Amino acid sequence: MPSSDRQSILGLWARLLAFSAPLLAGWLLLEWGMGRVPTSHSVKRDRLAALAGEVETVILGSSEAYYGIVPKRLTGSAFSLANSSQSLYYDDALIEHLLPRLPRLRRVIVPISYFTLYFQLYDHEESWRQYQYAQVWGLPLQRPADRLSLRRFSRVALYTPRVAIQELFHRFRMSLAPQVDDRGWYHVPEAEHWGLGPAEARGRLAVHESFMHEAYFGPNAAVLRRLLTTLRGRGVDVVFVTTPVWPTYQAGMRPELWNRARSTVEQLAREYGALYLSFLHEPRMRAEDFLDCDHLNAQGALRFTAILDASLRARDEAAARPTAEAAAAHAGELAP
Amino acid sequence: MPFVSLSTGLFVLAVLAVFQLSPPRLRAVVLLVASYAFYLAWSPQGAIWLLAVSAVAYLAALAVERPRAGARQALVALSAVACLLTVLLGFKLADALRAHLGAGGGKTGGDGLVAALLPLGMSYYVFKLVGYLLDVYWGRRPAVHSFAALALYASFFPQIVAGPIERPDDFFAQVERLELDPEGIAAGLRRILFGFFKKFAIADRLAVLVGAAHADPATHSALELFIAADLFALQMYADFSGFTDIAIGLGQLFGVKGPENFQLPFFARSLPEFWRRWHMSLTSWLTDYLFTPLRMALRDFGQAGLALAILVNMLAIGVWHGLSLTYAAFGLFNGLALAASALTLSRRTAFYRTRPRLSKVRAVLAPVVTFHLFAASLILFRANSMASALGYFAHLVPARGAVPAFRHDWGQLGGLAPRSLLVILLTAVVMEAIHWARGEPRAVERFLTLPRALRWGAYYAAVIATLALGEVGAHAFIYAQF
Repeated sequence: MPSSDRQSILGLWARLLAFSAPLLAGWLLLEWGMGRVPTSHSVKRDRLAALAGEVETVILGSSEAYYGIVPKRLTGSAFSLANSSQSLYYDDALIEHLLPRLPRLRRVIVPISYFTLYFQLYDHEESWRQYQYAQVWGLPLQRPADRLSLRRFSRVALYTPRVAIQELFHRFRMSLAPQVDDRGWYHVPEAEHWGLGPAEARGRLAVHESFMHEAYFGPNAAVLRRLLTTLRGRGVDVVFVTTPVWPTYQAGMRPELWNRARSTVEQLAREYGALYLSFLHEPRMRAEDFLDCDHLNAQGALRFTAILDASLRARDEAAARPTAEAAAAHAGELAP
Repeated sequence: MPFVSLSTGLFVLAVLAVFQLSPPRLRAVVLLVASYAFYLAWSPQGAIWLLAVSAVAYLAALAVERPRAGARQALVALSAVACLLTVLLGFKLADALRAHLGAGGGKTGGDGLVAALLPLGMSYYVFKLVGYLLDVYWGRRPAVHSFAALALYASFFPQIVAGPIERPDDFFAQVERLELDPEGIAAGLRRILFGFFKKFAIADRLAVLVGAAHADPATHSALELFIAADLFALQMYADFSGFTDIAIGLGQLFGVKGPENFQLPFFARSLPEFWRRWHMSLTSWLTDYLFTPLRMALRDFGQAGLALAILVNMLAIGVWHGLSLTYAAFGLFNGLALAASALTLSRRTAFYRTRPRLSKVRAVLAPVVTFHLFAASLILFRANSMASALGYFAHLVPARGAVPAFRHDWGQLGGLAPRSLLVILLTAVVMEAIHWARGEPRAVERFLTLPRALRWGAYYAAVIATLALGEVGAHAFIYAQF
C-alpha cells in the first residue's frame, strides 16, 4: 500500500475512533444505569434470595401462571418463578439452578397450557426474553448460536436503546416490573380487559399456533421427564396444573394437539407419582375474572388460586389421612 | 449468523482489517474467503449448494462462450439455465409444501422451522448466475476464466442475503481493481448508518402496527385496516431500502458499489413508472432476461402479446418471492394493472391532451392513486394465505363486520400511540428528503463541504434517532427470507 494511501486510511480510522468515543461513553452510561433498573427477573431473583430458606412451593410456567396463580394465597410459603413466554427448558433450568438453595421446597407447580409442549422460547416472537435468563440467573442459552448475541452481554441491547434512553430521562428509577409483587406474582392492572368473544379467541389461538411446532414436542417431553426425575429424586412433589381458559378459546383448540399434550402429561404424572389438575374448563370462573381468553386478571387469579389451593389441601389431607390412621394404629400397637 | 448482530459486526471489522492490510492482488481472495466463511456460519449445506451452482454456471459459460456459438452451445446454455432455475424452484416448492403441511397452508415465514429449506440468498445468487450465463451465451460479455472470480460474484457477502442483484460487468470491473478509497469507505459508513436508521426507526416501529392488523382483520375497523395497509407499504420501503443501503454501504467498504434498488418510488405517477423505481435490480433483470425476449417472441400478437408478456413478467416477480398463491396473486394484481395501463396509454394520453385542467388534477392525484394501488397489492404480499388476504379485503369495506368502520383504536394497532405514529411519519419525511438529496450531486457535495462539527452533528443525530426511536434488533429484514 503506498504511504499516502496508508496515511489516509489511518486518518479515517482515527476519525472513526474519535467519532465513536462519545457514543461508546454514552452506551456505557446507559449500560451502568440499566443494571440498576428492576426487571421481573431481577425482582424475583432478589426476593427469592431473601425467602430461600422458607419457600415450600414454587410455581413455574408462562404468563398464564404468572398472572393467574397468586403465591400468597397458597397454603404455606410459595413463590412464583413463572414469567411471560417461559418455556419448559427455562422451567427446568431454573429448578436445576435453584434447587440446592431451597432447602424446604416440597412442591413445584408446573403449568401445562395448550402450547406448552409445542414451543421453544428461541423460536418465539419474544425470543429476546431468553437473554434475561442468561443475564439475571446465569442460565445457559438453549442454542449455542445465541450465545454470541449482544443481548447476552448488554442490558441496553436486551431492553433496546429506546427503553434505556427513556430510563435515562427517569434517572434509571422507573421499574420495568412495577406490577410484580414480593412473591413474584404479576398483578394485572385493573383497567386491562382484552375481550372474550369468538374473534378475540381466534386471535389468541392464531398467535399461539403461530409458534407451536410439532418438532418441539419430543424435546419438551424429554425436558419434562428430566424435571420430574430431578424433583422426585429430591422428594419434591410435582403438580401439573392447567389454568382456566374461556370457552371460546377452548372451542378453538385443535383437539389432536391438546389431547396429545394432555395424555403425555397424564402418563408422566402416573409414571412419576405426580398429580395433574386440569382446570381448563372451570365453571366457577366468570367472565369478569379473565383478562383475555387464556389469561386471568387479578380478581380471577385470586379466585382461581383459592380453588387450586382447596384442591391441593384436599389432596394433602387425603394423602395424610391414611398415614395418620396408620400412625394411630402403630401407636395403639405400642400402647401397653 | 444474523445480518444485524454483534457477530456480524465483529466479522465485518475483522475482514475490513485483513482486506486493508492485504496486498491488492490478494484482496479478492480475502473477500472470497470471507464470503464463504460468512455463508458457512449460516449453513454449511447451503454453502455446498452455492458452490455447486457457481460451478455449473462457470463450466457452462466456458462451454457456450462465443465465437463457438452453435446448436451444442444452445443446448448447454439452455440445460445449465434450466438446471439453475430447477434448483431454485425445487427449493421454493419444497418450502411451499413444508409451509403448507406444517403451518396450516400459509406461506413460508421468517422464522425457524418453516423457512429453513431455501438456502440463504439463493433467489439472488441464482439470478445473478443465470444473467451471467445468458450474457455469455448471447455474446454480450466474455466468460470469466477464473472460478474464484465467479464464485466471489455469486457469494459476495454484502449482497448475498437480500441483493441487490448486481450485473456481472459492473461487479467484475470493480473487483479487478480493489483499491483502498477512504472517501468510498466514509460514503459506505454513511450509507450503512442511513440503512439502520430506516430499518429501526421506521420499518420496525411500523411492523408492530401492521402485524396486529394482519393477525386478525376481523377485530379491526375498516379505517384501521386501511391505515395499516398504507403503512405496510411504508414499512416495506423503509425495510428493504434500508437493507439495500446497508448492503451497498458494506460493499463500498471493500471497494464494490452495488446497484441502486429504489428511486423515490412513492413519487411515481403511474404503476409502470413505480415498477421502474421499485426493487430496480430485480425488475431490470427480469426486463432484460424475461420480458424483452418474451416481448420479442410475442411481437406478432400485437397488444395481446404485450399484455401477455407483462403478465408473465409480473407473475415471475410474484413467485420469485415464493411459491404461494398470495405471491402469485400479488404478481397478477400488478400485472393486470400494468397491462391495463399499457393497453390504454395512448387513449388516456389523447384524452388528457385536450383537457389541461383535468391533466393538472391528474398530475397531483396520480402518485396518490399509484401508491394506494401498490399498497392494496401488498395486502396479498403480506397475508399468510389467500383466505387471510380476502378476509382483509372484505373487512376494508365499511359495511362489513361488527367493528364500527371508522373506529381508530390505537390500542388495537399494536398499542402504537398516535404521537408515536406521527413521529414515525415525520421520520419518514426526513428519509424521503435524504433520498431526494442523495440523487442531487450538488446537495451531496454541499453537505460534504460543511464544517466537520455540523456533519458529525448530523451523524450523531442519526445515531441517536435510530437508537431512541427504533426497535433495534426486534425484527428480521423482510427480504432476507427470499
